[in-house]
Amino acid sequence: MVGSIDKEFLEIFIDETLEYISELEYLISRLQEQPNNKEIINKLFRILHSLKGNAATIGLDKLAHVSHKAEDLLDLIRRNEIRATKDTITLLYKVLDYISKAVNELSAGKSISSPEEILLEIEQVIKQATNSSEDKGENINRNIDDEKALQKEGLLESNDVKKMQQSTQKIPLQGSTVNNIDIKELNEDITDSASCMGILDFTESEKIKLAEAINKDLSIYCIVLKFRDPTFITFRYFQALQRLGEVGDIIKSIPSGSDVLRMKTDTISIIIGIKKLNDLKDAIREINDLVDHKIMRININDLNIDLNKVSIDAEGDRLSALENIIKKIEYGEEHKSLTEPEPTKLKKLQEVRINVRSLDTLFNLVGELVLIKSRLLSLASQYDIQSLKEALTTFERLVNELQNEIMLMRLVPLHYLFRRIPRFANELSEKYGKQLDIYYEGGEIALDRKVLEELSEPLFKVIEILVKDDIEKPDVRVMKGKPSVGTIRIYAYREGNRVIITVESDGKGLDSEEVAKRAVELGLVPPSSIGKLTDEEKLMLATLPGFSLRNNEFAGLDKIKHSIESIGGTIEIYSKTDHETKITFKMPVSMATLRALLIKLKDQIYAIPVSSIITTMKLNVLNSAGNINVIKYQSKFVSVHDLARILEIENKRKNKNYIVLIEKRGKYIGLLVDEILGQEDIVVKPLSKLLSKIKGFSGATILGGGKVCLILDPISLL
Amino acid sequence: MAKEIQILVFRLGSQLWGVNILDVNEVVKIKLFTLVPRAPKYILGVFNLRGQIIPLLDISVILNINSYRSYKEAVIVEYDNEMIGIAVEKVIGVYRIEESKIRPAPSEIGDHTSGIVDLDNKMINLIKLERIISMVIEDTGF
Repeated sequence: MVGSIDKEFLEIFIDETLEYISELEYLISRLQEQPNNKEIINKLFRILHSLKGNAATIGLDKLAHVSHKAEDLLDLIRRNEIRATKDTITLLYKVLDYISKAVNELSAGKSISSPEEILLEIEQVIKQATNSSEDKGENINRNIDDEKALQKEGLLESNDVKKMQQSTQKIPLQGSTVNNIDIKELNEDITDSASCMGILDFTESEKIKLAEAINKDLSIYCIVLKFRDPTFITFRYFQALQRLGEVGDIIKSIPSGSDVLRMKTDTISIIIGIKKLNDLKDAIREINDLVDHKIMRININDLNIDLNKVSIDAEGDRLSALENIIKKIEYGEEHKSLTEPEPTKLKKLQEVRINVRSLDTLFNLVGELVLIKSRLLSLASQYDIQSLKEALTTFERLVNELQNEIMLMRLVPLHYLFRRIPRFANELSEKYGKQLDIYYEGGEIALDRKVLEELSEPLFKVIEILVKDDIEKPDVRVMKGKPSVGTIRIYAYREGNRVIITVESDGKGLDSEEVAKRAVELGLVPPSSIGKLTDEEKLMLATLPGFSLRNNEFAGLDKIKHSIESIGGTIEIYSKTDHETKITFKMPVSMATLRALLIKLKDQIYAIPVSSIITTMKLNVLNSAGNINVIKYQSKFVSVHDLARILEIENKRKNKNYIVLIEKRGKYIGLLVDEILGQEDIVVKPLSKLLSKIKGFSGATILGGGKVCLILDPISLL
Repeated sequence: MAKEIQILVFRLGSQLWGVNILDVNEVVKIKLFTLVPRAPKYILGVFNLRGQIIPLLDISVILNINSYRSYKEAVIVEYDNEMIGIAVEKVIGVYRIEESKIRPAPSEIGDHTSGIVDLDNKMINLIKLERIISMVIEDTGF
């Protein structure tokens, strides 16, 4: 194959392989849980088989080679010659890594890196397993073996196919005397696939092709190709048609070339005129990933087509027949592109792929639109113009709908993160010498893509910390009377517009007193402050920067907390010694917008999330208790802090008239501010990483006029 | 032919400074920027660059020089996918210089300068941008 086709195929190939990579990952993790599950092994085998075929077709030999070897490996697993042990699973993961890497390299326009290492590893495993029984000529006939193996497993309905082949083989190739399909039977056979409907309804141009084929003494066959699944279908379709086109005249196919792009089908029906049935069968054999195929002779007389009415030239003249074929191919292609213009193609599309970057841009634009909406509304409220208000009401509704729709578009199920867990846990248990059972649920819960992305690192880090520092070594566990295998449970559920994700382990636990003592020891908190803290608050001290127990245990929680908070989430720790440790993230479903109160402090505007505000009030009397100021709120005294002083801003202004009462972990705190400007929906944008260490801000937003406004984070502020 | 590099020359305080043009993404005018309380001194604040929040560095603090602190423009550089603005008083222009004409900077100047070049009788200090940024990153715990 040459240049341009290559490129086009390559894109399809990369796209579809990416989908398969996550499928592979998932299947490998399932295999690990159920090493004897034949169904999983077969699925894995099929994917690798497809991958091999596709890679080979577009000349990606290295990738084809690796998939081929991995396929061999799976075949041995399937035949129980190799057990799906941890080592085997690890090896499969390595194959997966190689494939992902290769695809990345391909899409970056680089050449695929050498597969030597991985091939060698697989080879060794295979050699060990087959030392005694296998001979060396085996590889050559691999492909046929594969098919046989597939048949053995019932993947191909081999009997049917064979019977079909035998019966068709006996048919003399000439004339239409032989009993053949009757249309009814054909339709019954393949009613399961809508794509075959109408295969025997010929258009005028197809009739011409048909007539020409008959006049060239070609026998007309109907072939139904059933592929394993709809993935790669576009690719397979062109591959199949190309191969078949070499042995005969293709009269029509359903779906047609332009339909196949937008149809998710696994079945293709083709009417073809051929000279020799064996050629056709050879050609079909070379088509990858068929689970089933039917070859049916079509009796022309059954078709109710009056071929005499179809004008034909060049009777029996081989040379001109050949020319006709060429013409037809050219004509056919031109014809297709003329009669199927782009717009109609788009109309029927159910799904399109969108570049993530354009989705992000769209998301940002809608965010800005929401801001403008808020501004317009507040502007309009200053004037009493009925028609303006009405127009704005509609505008508001539309913008809200738009925002909602975009938000939905960006939701991705947690599954994408969760399916990486088993593998990760595997690596961890090996690395730290722990035995692990890992369970996860709630993968169907969807989160904004960006939230999910940002969640990945802290989630895996928490799992690692728990495996490393909470779960005890097997012998220690046994001594404590626990099962030697530790358990990590990860579960997620929706709660309002938040998603709660908990990682739970049954290890030695985190003792709140010990944490508090250690925090004082490290100088992270003054000893005097410990006494008043609740157990929960003491545990949270473990998230202070620089915290770790002895031997660096439970270190790094501060980073996790920070990343969770930077996307608007919160983190909670709960632990019962020697029983369970729970680390819970509460994440926003979407980062779309945040309702915030805008306040002014020395000419700068800051936003405070409304979710953490209890109330605002005008300052009347400020009492002081000792050297802290307090106010009375609902018969309780609440301490009041000057926000400017907290933020270390010089503020000489005396008339600080307002108090914003916020809640910080159940405690009320008053913040003294210069002015209160009102509420607005704001789009949360991350602060630059350079500023991530500065405490007190959870992000920033852009106000009308383009000025950046910092969002205060009540929790880390004080 | 002598090997040439292109440098972007800007004014900061009373001196002229140059950075390799290949390190520069773009130059933008600063109209508004927002102060960030609690930030280190060399972070002037943040500003909005086409919807992205970009930190603005005052490298005069790092270079330990006097500047008039009347920043009008920002030289945008990208480091590890993060955009960073370097506040300057005025961008003078882009010049071609021969690499061989770059003289080593006297050691007193500090190790943020990679050399000095004479351009129409004006001395231009070439800044080791990467060094400054990586210092900042280390300091802020990126």
